[in-house]
Amino acid sequence: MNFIKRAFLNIKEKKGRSILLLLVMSAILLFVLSGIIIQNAAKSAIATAKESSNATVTLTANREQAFKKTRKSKSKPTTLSLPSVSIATAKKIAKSSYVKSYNVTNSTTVNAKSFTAITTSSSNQGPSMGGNSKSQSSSSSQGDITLSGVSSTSTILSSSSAKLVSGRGLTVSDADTNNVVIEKELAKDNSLKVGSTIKVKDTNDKVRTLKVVGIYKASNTASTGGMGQSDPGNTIYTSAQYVNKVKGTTGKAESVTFTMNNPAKASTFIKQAKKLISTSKFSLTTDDSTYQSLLTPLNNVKSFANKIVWLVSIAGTIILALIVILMIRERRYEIGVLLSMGEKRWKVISQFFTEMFVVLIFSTIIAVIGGGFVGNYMSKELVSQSTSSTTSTMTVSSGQGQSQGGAPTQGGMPGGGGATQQGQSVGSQQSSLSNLEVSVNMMSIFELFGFGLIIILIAILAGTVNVLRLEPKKILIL
Amino acid sequence: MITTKNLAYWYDNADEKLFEDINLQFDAGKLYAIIGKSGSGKTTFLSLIAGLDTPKSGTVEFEGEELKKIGLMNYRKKCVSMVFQSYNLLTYMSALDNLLCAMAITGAKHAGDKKYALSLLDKIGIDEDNAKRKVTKLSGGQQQRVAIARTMCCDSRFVVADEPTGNLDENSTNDVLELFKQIAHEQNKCVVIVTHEFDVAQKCDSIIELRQKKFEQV
Repeated sequence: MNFIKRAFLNIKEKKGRSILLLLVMSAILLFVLSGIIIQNAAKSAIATAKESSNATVTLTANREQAFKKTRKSKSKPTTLSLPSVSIATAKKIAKSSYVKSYNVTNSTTVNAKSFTAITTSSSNQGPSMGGNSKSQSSSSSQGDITLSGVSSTSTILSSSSAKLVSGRGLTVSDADTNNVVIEKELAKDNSLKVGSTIKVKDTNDKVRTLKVVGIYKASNTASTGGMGQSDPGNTIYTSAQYVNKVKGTTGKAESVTFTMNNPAKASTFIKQAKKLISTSKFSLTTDDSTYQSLLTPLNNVKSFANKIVWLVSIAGTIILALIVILMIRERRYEIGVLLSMGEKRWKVISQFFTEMFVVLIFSTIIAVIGGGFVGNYMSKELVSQSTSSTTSTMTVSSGQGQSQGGAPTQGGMPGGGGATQQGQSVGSQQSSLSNLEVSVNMMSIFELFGFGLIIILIAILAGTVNVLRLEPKKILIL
Repeated sequence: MITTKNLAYWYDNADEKLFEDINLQFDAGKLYAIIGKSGSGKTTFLSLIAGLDTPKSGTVEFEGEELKKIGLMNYRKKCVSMVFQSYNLLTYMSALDNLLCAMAITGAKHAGDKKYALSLLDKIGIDEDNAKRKVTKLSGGQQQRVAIARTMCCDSRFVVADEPTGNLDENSTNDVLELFKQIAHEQNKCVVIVTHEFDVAQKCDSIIELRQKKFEQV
């Protein structure tokens, strides 16, 4: 009869003690498993957030440096000269492994010729801006239509601020063509459809014909950015190359937006990209606010789950060690008898280990059955607490952003509503957090089993060290 | 078989020796009784010759070889078997399992042989039904018989017993002593029992008394 058979006999004959151990071990493992699966769910949610939150890095002219340069030259009146971004440089930067895609933006204004631009009036803006008021159009160097040149409209026209409703968006194959995507209200007011052609007059009074290939709808929340900006409906999307043609330039852009594969690598990418540009002329700015706002509650959940795992493991080890110490003290005669017969010490320890190992197997089964429920409940509580605190922080910062509003958005995006758009995006992504996928998989079971093994090993060593270092006579006389 | 040479033992103070200069020899085929007052050091002497403890000075030899050389664990495993006053059986096992366990640990010739274990138990008056019952369900006399059977099933040639009849009535005491005689005379083993009962000692082949730190043949 070896130590394994002795262990099984002991478990079988001492049912009460075995059940007590099973209950204690199950309770410990249940909480450890909950912690592990929440931790894993948070990790995978962070990975998903990295892929889905689309952090961007925008390459534009360095306005701060340009202002400094202009002031130093002391030329009056002050004229700010901003350098254009070279598309060739942007292509070199876009070769980085951190870049998922990039979008060149280039805009200019033109005047409507064969159609009427949308006129917006506001009680606090005074006389109408833009519009088809010919006197205003001709007297102003700013046209009533914004011609926004992009590489592709796929990102712009799939956001919450603008959606493609008819025809198709622009792609890289539309470069150098006169294909455009116009706003729904502008199309409606002028009875324009996909396939229609429209005419505009550039700043040199040259008439240009544009072909409508798609119609988009700007969101209701999109509004004029403020003084000096036309209605968002007056934004027409075309290729960046065509805008260059209208402006009389080649291979230039106002800005280039790089979409990151992994938002966490944005700063590394910037360091890499800065080597390819002149930092005194150009700047790289990151927009990973969505990612960061998602990261905070997830990191909170992950860190809390981590604490649960460690606290329960430590507390569990202490509780089990105390139980094992008591159990072994109660069995010191048995140890003495076994040693007096010449049994090896490691075999005596192995017998206790086997007993606990059998209990561990059954406890793991119980923990796996119950862990999913407990983990789900705990994760819902944790996520709701974390997201509510983050959302309230976001609301405060968004409110501040709006009060400072009025700055045109980058890249000729349908104007205004930057903070609202961000808020909507974060809100929708955070609501998906409440469905944090908490499930028990093989990996978490293995992890749990590993934790259990370590706990029983420490508990048994702590319990047996005091008795096994003695000679059998001392154990039997104790 | 077992020889002690200048054996001495003390606990904390070397000036307060339990016994000293003990030179004894125990031979195979004989049943020895060690008697003495309570606290005189009988059990301590037994633990030294059983390899449960190490002497402070002097040596214990088994068949001419020092226990240190044999190794105490190895000695306990292969050469000696023990019977205690409180039986010290494994309480979560049956009588049969106790025997099988002892045979497995000591690597006895009949290890794993249930029939052999049952026949041994039957020989000492434990039938198959009782053999398969948990030992805690047996009477004190039966438990002590199981403890003796445990020493019989192992291949060790030396048996020590500490107050083996201390908890038993007269009939059981006689039965147990008969068993020890059988082990000594029929199996040609050396059996040493420690007792404080002179009646028990008188039934043994040889009596040694521990008196004033010395052993004397009675």
